[in-house]
Amino acid sequence: MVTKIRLVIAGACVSALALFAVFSQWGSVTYTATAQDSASAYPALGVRAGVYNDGQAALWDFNITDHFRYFGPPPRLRGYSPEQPIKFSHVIHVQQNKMECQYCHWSVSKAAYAAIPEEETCMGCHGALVAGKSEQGKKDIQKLKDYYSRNEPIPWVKVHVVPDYLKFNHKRHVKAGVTCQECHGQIPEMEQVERVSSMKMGWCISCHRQRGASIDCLVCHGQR
Amino acid sequence: MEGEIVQLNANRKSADKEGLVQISRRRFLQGLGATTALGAAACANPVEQNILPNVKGVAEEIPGVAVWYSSTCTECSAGCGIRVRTREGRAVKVEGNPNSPVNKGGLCALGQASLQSLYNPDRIRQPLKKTRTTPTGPIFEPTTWDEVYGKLQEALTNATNRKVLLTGELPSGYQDLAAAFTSQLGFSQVVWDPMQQVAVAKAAELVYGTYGVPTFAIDKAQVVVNFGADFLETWLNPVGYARQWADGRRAEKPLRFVHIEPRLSLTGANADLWLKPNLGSDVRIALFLIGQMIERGRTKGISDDTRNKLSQLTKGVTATEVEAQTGVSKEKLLLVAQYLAEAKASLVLAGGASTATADPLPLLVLTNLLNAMLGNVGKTVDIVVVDKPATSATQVAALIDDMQSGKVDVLITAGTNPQFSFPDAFGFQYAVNKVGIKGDGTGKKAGIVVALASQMDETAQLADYILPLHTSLEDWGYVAQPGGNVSLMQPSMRQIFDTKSLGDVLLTVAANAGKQIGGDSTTFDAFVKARYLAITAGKSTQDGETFWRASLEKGGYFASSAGVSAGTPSINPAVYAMSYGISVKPAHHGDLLLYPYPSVKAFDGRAANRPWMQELADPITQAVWGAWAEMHPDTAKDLGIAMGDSVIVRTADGEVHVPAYVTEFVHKGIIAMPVGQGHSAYGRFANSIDQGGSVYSLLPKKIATGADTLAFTGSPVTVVRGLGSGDLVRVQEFNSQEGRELARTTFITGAGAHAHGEEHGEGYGEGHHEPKQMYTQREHPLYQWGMAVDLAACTGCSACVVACSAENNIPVVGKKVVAQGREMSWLRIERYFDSVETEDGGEELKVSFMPMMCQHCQNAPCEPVCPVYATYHNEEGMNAMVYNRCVGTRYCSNNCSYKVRRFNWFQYEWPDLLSWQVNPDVPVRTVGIMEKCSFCVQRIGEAKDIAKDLGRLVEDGDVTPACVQTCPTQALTFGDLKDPNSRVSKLAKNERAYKVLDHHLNTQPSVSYLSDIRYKA
Repeated sequence: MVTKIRLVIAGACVSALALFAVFSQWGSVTYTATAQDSASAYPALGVRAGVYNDGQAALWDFNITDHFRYFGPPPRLRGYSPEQPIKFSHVIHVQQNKMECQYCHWSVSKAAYAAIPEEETCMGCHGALVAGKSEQGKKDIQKLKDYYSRNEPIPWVKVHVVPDYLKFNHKRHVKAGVTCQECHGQIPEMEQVERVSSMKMGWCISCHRQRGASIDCLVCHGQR
Repeated sequence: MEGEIVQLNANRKSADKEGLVQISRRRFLQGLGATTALGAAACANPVEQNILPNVKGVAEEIPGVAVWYSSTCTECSAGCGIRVRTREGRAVKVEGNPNSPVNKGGLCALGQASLQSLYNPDRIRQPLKKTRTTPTGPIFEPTTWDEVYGKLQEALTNATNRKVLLTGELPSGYQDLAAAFTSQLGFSQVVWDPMQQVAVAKAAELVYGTYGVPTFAIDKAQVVVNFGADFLETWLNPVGYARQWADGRRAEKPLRFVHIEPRLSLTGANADLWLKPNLGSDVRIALFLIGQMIERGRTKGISDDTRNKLSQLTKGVTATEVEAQTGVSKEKLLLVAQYLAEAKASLVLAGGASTATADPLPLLVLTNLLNAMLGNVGKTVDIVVVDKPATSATQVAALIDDMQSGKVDVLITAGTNPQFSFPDAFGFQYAVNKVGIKGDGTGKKAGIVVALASQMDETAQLADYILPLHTSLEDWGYVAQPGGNVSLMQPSMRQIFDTKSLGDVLLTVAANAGKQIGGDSTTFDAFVKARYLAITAGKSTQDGETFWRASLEKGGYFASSAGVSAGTPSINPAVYAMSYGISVKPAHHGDLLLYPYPSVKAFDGRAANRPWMQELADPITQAVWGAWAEMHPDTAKDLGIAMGDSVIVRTADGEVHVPAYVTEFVHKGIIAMPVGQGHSAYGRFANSIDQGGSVYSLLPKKIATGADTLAFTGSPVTVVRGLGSGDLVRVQEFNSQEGRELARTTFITGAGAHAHGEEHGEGYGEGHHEPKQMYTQREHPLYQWGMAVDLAACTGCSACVVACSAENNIPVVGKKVVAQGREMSWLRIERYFDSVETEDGGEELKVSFMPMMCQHCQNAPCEPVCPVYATYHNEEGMNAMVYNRCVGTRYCSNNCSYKVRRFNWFQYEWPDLLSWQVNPDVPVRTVGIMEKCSFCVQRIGEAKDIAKDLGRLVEDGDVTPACVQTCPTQALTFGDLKDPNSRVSKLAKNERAYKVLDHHLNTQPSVSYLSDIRYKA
């Protein structure tokens, strides 16, 4: 008797799962409305919220959905070092030419974002003065100029990705005396930027504990 | 089954004993997570994310830091100052500008929703040309600006008949240019805005001697008697007047408010006494009051001669007779007369739906006379600083006649929608189609109709060409206000589409015709600057450029408030010859009469394309999305109609199909309907709901007697039951608190008792409930955030609800989902109809409005039931909600005593462009997540960030959540309860303060409510 019931339950589960798979296309449960039901057509129309990357200053992308949609957060592994559209070398800029981090990443002490520098900043030197030494360098500087003349942002690939359900405030950390290297590693020695910290919650918390910073959830979560 | 459980437990025990499985719950979950992650890694490639830099830097912009622009709201004619918050070049929030003397920092729901005009997915994106008309509507195709300018120039050259610029009540910047345009190009300007109080302006001329809508000082009155003016909703300057009203209610001796209207409006719901006269008979009440004032010797404000003439008018108007005519008991009438006679300063208002009858002047004249004789002119009524509406129904009607007879060759429309809001009976559509048709019988079209519009609407659809305009958030301009203030408009972001400013379009059209209408300016922004500096010349010692910059930052030029200017009424003799009989008489005995009214949700229809406004619950009916017809239960019973039934409302001119809303708070003889729904071409949000037709189609072809406005109110209607249920969706389906003391009231008894000195009566003893705690009472080391809600100031206007949606990315879910009880609003306005005992033992209605949001309980029922610790109490006294921890069990919502938690049943999506309004400081929640009011934690974070930079703690006033910021009456206060000197701490200790359900449940909320103040009638 028990077995029979179990079989029935198992069968029901399987068919329910199949139905769920069909109707929900697995992860993305989207509410769809018909045209007749246009009063509630609101959620069904248009594009997903947070499609901000079509514009100029798309520093935001805050789709929690994405992460669930792709079964987890984007690359959050140590050693993640994607190839960049322009082979920008921190070795040349920081180590050899002794540039300050904040010369380019100027907003790091002013705002939550340590924004990628404007192309205008790059063009300040590369516009007329520095044309590059190596073959690769010349090619990449030309690429930069092309982007700039097309008025187009360089599609840099994000290395240090934190999920968008949390707020990380660069300004607060810099003002509290946390150095760039503590989280980002020895960037001056990197030809291609690589992720050296896990940037997982445990990693954040351990530092917060050490320094006596707040570990209240709302300090990072609930806002962006 | 039982056996199984036992067995499982037994297994675990044995395993523990043997030390085989020693795994903590946390480890187990971590392991589970890892397994899932592995599975996921196999399924899908991780997404590569781009991070895009600015190509060029923007001088005053730091990525991630908001930039604010001061501007002016142009949604209605009040001209409230606004501040637009932009992030990385995009407007994300609109707030009231505290510098503006009009709104003093508050903003109404519609003003908040102006963002959804900017980002409306159905905006017109490029110039359009009508190619053909199909049975389902006209077909437009993209064209170029030059083509339209060329065609227009051609038509202007060839035009032999009238050229007309048909506009709404334009902000001064456009209007000044339009005036030059019309005079130099031989146009005539016709203005149509159904919200304008033209009859009020006309009646002012008859009694006060100046044409124009007077300015009122409600806060300076001790008694306000109001004949239907909805000054807390849409009337003239709702934000400013709501603030004045609340200031009056909060005074040492609160103002007493009597509302006289056949329907309980939001404004009426806030009154101490609501009288429900027969429609159109309120003029008799006004006449009776005049007689009473003469009898009681309160005629100081008028000459003896005037008084004698007036006493002739009121001869024979007795309380008994008026009772019979109006249906209002004579005791109440005498009470109102007594209030007025005893008040040192009073104010009598009339307007709104009550004065939209075919004969509005008698009532308005009488109320003005009352003000004059009571000496209110110069005290509470300013007849010097007046607003002169240019709206003219006669001129629109004449234009329609001219168009029909082929006497109009060029028609340019801008900022008005007469095809929707001018009654269909006049035949606007038919007439527009005849513009420029040659009278030679060939039917050849020589003329042109051009619509200048930012949104597609019914009027734009009739045009041959449509030129897309900037919305008010993308454009320059100024609003010159009566009294000398000039409020500036400036773009808060770059234009999104190929649109132009209305000013620039007029300048270009004129320039093509060889006219220079902007003076020295060839662009509209230059024109605005030049005009602004000219208007304010001599008002500042700064040089032009510095003053201009400072003005842009501040929002305009605001002189110090001069108070109410003195003025002497000069009464027109025609007043004495006027007939003061009942103005609305049904054609047949037993006729029901139509009572259309503008609502906070849709105004005259302009707000219908904003999803926030559609999903906002109407404060009185609690209905969302679409229109309804309000009727009395007795009427409904006679007609065999039940709540929510589909009904057909029919007049001689048309019919609409709407759901019935049965309520005892309308007069038996009327069918009250909100106007503004039932659009056919105003974008997806306005069109989709309520295809049953627009109320305007029910109105007769009738212009009011003596005033240049339309007869909206009083058409005889028949109502029959339609088919099935009418799709009425309400978010609150009950009326009474059933004695639960949720929204409490402190009653002022006797003539002038002081409200704040009142002892709490029976049932209020637990206002200061001592917290009980099984565990240690929570400690708050630094801050303890809390809120205070003053119910005496809350009008129920619902601006906070929209502000909350805007700030916190709350999705709009649509009518069907709301019907399932799955609305997402974090903040709702609860409204209760309760009956209270009057002093003489009768019963009186008491309406309560109560903003209800998460109470952030110190002893929160939701917290202990969360299995994953996604909701917990933080050290700053907040009930925190961690979205990424939530697994969606919904136990918390189940256990919440206030029902303020909302669950994401679906993945809600923003149609393109509306996604631009999303606040980047707040995460967008996904399906399966619980959410609720966070006290705007992102704003607290921002305040803490700024305070840390300044090396101090957060001070009182640093944190202002969105709802608190926008409240027109400052009913909401937020702050640190730990600081005994903060405003919120003081309010929480006020003797009117109490906490909802705390004395029953010991939830210890952080939100204190201050009981409403009412006079006992």
